[in-house]
Amino acid sequence: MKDVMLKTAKVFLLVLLAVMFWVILRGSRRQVDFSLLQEDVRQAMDLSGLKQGDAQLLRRFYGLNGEELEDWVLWTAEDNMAVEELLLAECKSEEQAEQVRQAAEARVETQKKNFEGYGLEQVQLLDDSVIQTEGCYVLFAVSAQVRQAKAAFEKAFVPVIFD
Amino acid sequence: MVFSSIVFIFTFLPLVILAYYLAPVKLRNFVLLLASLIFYAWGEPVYLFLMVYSILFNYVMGLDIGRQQEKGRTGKNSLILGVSVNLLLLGFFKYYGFLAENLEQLLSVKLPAVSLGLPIGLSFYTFQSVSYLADVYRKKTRGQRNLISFGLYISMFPQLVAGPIVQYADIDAQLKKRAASWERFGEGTRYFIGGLAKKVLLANNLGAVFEAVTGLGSLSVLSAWVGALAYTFQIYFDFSGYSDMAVGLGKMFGFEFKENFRYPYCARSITQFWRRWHISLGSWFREYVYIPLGGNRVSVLRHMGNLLAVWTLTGLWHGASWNFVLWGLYYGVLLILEKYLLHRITEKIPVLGTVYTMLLVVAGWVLFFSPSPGAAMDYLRIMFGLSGEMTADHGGMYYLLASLILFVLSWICSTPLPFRICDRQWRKARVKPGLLLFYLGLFLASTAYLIHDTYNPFLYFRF
Repeated sequence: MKDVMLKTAKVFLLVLLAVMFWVILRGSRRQVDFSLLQEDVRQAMDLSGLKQGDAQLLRRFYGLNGEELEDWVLWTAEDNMAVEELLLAECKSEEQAEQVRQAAEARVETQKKNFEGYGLEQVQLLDDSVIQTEGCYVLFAVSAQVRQAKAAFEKAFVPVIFD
Repeated sequence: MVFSSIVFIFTFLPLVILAYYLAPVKLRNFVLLLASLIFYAWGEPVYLFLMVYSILFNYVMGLDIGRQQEKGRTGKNSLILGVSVNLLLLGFFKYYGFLAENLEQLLSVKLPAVSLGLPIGLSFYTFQSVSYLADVYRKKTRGQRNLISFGLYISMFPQLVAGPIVQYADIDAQLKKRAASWERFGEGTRYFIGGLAKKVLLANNLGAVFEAVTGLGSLSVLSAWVGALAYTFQIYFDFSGYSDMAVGLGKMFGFEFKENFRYPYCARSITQFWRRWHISLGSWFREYVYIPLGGNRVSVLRHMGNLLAVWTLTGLWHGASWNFVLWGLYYGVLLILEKYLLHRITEKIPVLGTVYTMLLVVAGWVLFFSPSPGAAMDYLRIMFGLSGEMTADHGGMYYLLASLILFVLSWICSTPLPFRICDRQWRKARVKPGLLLFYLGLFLASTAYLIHDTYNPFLYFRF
């Protein structure tokens, strides 16, 4: 009887372990609620001095067509001398997410060229900027709180079993 | 939750002490287990599942090993399964990203992206679980039948987050019966306040100096040394302070944990240093890796291989990065050199031995705190004047002079002197108003600092 109980418990716990790993590996590409993700990242950052950008601005700064993306939100600095920026995008595929990532990288380079030589603080912020991809989701942040923004973004993707 | 926080000191701890001492003796382990799970879940409840899983799995495996042995078998298969699952969990949550990154570069494959935070205390409680299974297998102890007692061993909040790593055989008897007294409670409080002061008054301020120096645009030889010294003292007071708090809390609940630090910065050799630094980790590796590999009772080459293997693992235990691997290997090589070439001659030279040890230890911490091996080499080059940087600059002078008192105080507190004075006073008289006032002062100063200053990092959290 004792042996049967121990064996059953062992099998149950090993199956549970296998399920946990399966969920984590599979869940790493799961979908998250974009409005919640947006809220989490925005709360992690200081957005004062930034205004929400429209599709025209997205095209101008990144060369991206907002209508082709699943969802997105863009915040840019009100002051021309500031480089703080936040772009969060939910893409229709990982390939599209890769395009957004490349667009964000190009944006960093352009901005660095704009401020090189006289905007030391701005260039430093651009150097420290974060471009993070999780499946179909992309975060691009230029801010003094990039670490917090990145942490909030990553936390949203903690597998569903741990929610 | 961390010990050095207002919510722990003024809410959680008093409530747990109250509940613990009001509860009947039979229920006290349950009260502590419940408190430990709440402590673990506080702020980051996502990994509570993992903790509960670990408790249940190791509980079952311990009983299974015992059952196999009752039937005349060795229980080796159960031990291998148990240890493998523990290491798999540790490997997956701590090293998956590191392994995937390196494998992707090496083999040009794409592995699933998994972004998981490191579960707090995972490295500590995994090692405790392995220690339990190995002790049961080697018949040093019997499998724990009481799930509450076993759960408490794995999750006990005083040593959950940053150790010390308690080996099961050392605490088995205390889980069943332990003596609590006002005297021991008082001593626990003394340890806790001492640890809190080390952490809050010394480590946090040293951490601020280190952050400020490494944040400078460029470093001179002087500023690089000021930064490295600040980190050297910070990591010691941070970790040993936390360990003292853990030992103190244990005493408050009637437990006796072994000391984790014994004035490592007074060591006269690297060998001595590692007998005094994070003693519970060294003991764990010696007991469960080094000795099973053959220890020193093998050929010289094999012994060197054993030392390098153990120290690579020790480095990796500290984090999933090549820096830590190099840091571990660095100590492995130094220990081999001391054993076979220097014959620990420095231990016989009082001041020079300590200077030699500290130079190597400070250089080791540079490997430890740098973001990459390349960055560490750059920093070391500056420290030793090999990169053509200035010998001294305004930033370096400013931070040296501004932190001089802090450095002197840190140095004094790294020696046994102040602790021996306090211990003597503690033992000397039953009524000790002077000492009580001193500890009250330390406690008030630490609390004031915690309320006033929000800078309260904890270096060993990520391990």
